Amino acid sequence: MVEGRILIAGVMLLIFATMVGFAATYPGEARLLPLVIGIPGLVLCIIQFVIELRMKPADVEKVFTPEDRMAELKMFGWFSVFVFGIILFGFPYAAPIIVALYLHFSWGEKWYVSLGAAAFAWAVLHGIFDYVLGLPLFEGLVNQWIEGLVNQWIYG
Amino acid sequence: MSFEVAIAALVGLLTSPYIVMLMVIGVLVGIFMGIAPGVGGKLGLVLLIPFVYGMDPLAGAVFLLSMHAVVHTAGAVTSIVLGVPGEGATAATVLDGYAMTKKGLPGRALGASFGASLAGSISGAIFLGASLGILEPLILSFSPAEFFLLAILGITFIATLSGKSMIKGLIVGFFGLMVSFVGLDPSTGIPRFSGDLLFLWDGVDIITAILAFFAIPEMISLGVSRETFAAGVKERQNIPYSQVWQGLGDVVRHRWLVLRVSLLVAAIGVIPGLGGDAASWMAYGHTVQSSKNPETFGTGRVEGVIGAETGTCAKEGGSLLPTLFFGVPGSSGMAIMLGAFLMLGLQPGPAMLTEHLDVVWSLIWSLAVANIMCVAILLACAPWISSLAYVKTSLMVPIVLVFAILGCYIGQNAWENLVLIFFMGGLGYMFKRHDWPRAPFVIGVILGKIAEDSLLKALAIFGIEFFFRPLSLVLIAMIIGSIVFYFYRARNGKAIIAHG
Repeated sequence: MVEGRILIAGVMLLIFATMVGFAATYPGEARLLPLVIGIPGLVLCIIQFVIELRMKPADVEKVFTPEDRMAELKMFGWFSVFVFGIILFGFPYAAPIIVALYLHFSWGEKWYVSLGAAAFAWAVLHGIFDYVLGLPLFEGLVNQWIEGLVNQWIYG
Repeated sequence: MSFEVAIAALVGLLTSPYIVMLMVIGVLVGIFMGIAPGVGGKLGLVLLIPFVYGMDPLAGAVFLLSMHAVVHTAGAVTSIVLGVPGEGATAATVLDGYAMTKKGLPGRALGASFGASLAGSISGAIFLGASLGILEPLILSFSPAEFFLLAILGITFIATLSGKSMIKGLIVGFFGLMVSFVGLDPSTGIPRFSGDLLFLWDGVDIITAILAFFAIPEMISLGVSRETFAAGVKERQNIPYSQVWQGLGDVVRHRWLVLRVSLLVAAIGVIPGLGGDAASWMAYGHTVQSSKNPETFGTGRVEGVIGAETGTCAKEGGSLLPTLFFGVPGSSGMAIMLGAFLMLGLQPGPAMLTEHLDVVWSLIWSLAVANIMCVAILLACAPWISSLAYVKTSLMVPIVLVFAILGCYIGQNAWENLVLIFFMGGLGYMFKRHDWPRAPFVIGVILGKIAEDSLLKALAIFGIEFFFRPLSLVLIAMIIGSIVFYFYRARNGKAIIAHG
């Protein structure tokens, strides 16, 4: 299994290579600074990647256990549920529900605690951001799609 | 004459119950705007402008300025206690402030932060008052050439904030610069690194980038480790006032740092277009660079908090100067303020100095008085605010995640920023996990756009000769001096390291 430190160096190398590749296709002034910054960045990424490859496991300060990795995977899973849940179903609906589910299933909190935190999130989102500040909360792609369908059905 | 006007303006401000009431409301709103991630002073101004329609010009301007002046002061609360910066300017405070919270010293960090904010805002106001009429020729002599070189000077601080590995720091800083190039090219108008994604044509939202690199990694990390915010402390502690006073005492102890940073940043704030975010990072960079033990920054050094917070607040006084006297905003917040001034019937320009000096002094005083009010409120609440660090992590992680995600949405009303925060947040966590510094990224993102815009304009106006303008030569000398200083200290075993 590829170690995380090598993976992150590789990811940065890939990002810089891609950006420099794109920058090279831009005309004159548009590529000036991206190349001036990107090429040294790419060289540094290659150096760092080689350093990470040559580094012996004994030189690495932090050791991650399989349990750590599993905990990280679970947390990333929940983070993606938060982000994509909100993208699909919006802040007003998804955010409080995911807060409650996360607290109950990930932390083992009792339902009344989970629902209380969800109610707090809902109250702040609606009460302060929506009602007091008048900032429209994103309603989610699925909700927008359903709303479009309903409008189409009603108004033809 | 000017002294009498200044005193009369202060008396007028403090003896008007109507204006004092407006200031209190402005300060309370500003505290909320500062604490809510992603809301910030600019959005706060936009939201409050409708409320000042038809108001007396001075009262309206004082109200808005009071709100705007305290946003950064309050923004330090989430940066220190939760590791979640409200905006770019307060992100520098996270580095040492949050580290102090992890050590069980949130009260001291907050005390230092509030004290430094107060000292910074008062110094900024004094700087503004003292420099009335003196700085005009200097400000007008700044061209894109000098903006470019100032941005480069800021970028040299990337080395200072690079952590144990300068290569990693430079990669992350360069990555920030590359990210700042995303969007329409200012000279040709072609989209760079953004393809057909319209939301990226204006560039990557700075708030999204900052929340992704600071707030999200902290929350994921807490979700994985299940520690409290004050992870270094085994048991919940009551935060005594003595800890807060200790923080305030630290500000007095480091008064020369406060003075140096205030002058540096107030002067930077005067320069239109450079922006407050850049000023606060330069202040932090200077604090680290001028320390005898730079390697300990980022691990909970109180000077880091003091430097960053002094810088964040001192620049407000400076940035008000070009806004008032030349109609040229010193920062993006001041650009909105300029619109509000015009709407209220205050016509910025040199005539402000000759015909409306009383108004000018009232605004200068309102900056200082609003911060005194804000700091008094926050100090009174500091032990309770600090105890947020001991709230159950299980409750804080999902709530903060939701508001961080909301913060990146409301800045541009673009749901696509949520996708951005997902990937950038993941990358930010990997950086944190494998000891890659994150601060250089923020410097790169903030200064990259300014550097590129200014370089293109300077080349168009002066050609390559812009490097030989007198002011350019001074700035080039400062840049070279900054780099030489870095290597000198590195060679003498004082490798300048700050864990970003």
